[in-house]
Amino acid sequence: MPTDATPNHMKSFLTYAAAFEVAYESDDWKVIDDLLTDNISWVVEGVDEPIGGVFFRRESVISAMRSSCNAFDRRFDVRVPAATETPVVIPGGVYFPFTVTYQHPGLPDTSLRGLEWDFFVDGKLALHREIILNADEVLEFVRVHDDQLRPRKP
Amino acid sequence: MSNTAQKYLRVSAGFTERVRHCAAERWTSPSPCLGWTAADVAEHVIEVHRAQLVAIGADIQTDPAESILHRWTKTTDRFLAAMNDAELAAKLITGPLGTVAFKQLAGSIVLHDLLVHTWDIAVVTDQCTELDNDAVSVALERMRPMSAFIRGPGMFGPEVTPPEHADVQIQFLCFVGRSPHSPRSL
Repeated sequence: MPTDATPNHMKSFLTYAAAFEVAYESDDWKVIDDLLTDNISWVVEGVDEPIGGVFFRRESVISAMRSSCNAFDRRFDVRVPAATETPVVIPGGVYFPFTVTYQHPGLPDTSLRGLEWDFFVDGKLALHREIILNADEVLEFVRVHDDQLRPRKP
Repeated sequence: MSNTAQKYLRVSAGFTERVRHCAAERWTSPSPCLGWTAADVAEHVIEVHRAQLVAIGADIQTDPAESILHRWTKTTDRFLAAMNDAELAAKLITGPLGTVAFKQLAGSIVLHDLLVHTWDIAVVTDQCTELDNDAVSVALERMRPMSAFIRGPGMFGPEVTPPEHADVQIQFLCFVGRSPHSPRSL
């Protein structure tokens, strides 16, 4: 009897998402190395580099993740990512709308809102697409409070 | 037969009926798909099915000289047989959007595409445009998260705002870029 080898994309996604958070906290991006395909495509729309952009292949994508976090996320004390709707399995992957709320002493919270799709091949992330919906608003927040936030890491 | 295969069978039968009753001279009518005639739509549906069958090593040979109806019925029969074959149904297909089992693809992207194009053929050949209501509801729900990936040249057009109090079929047609009240305007 044939075994059911239907890929469990939700499990792959949860593994990747957890590893991303570990990589962010530790700044050791090697922990997600094995979870990306060699030919991964990474597309973040709605905001320019270094926060967004289009990148191909694992090394470039990991470098882009790191640069994006250094240019934006790490300027705040606290970063709280959350799915605003339960992630749903779609053909080849997972989709969910999200927010990332940023907190910093003495400042009101600010949140990025977006949509995210992650597609997997053999359990590894092969295509990540993200659309940021309110980049202008959040970048304006950073501009106004620039001197109160942490300096941008190289 | 799985629920997915049963649903496919119902939707496929609806498409077959429209193809069977399409008058020969209507195959050249322009369809809601920009630049495509009714015949182009039917050929597209056949090709989409065959591409999945090729991917799992289950393709069938058809003679291009045969009628659209003949080639379609051979293709959809083969497709349904593959859905009902546990080994073929479980085969994995890898594309730009990840890895998907044939049975999942058959019950999602292929099925939804078939549903939309059933309406396309029906509307330009003056046949019944009523679609399988259950299939439409599920298609609308499952296609929404894929909205960013299904639009562009050779794919669906931009979403149309549905009229107030639109039923689920109208909502679905608007979602896939059809304008139900002026289909030939697209």
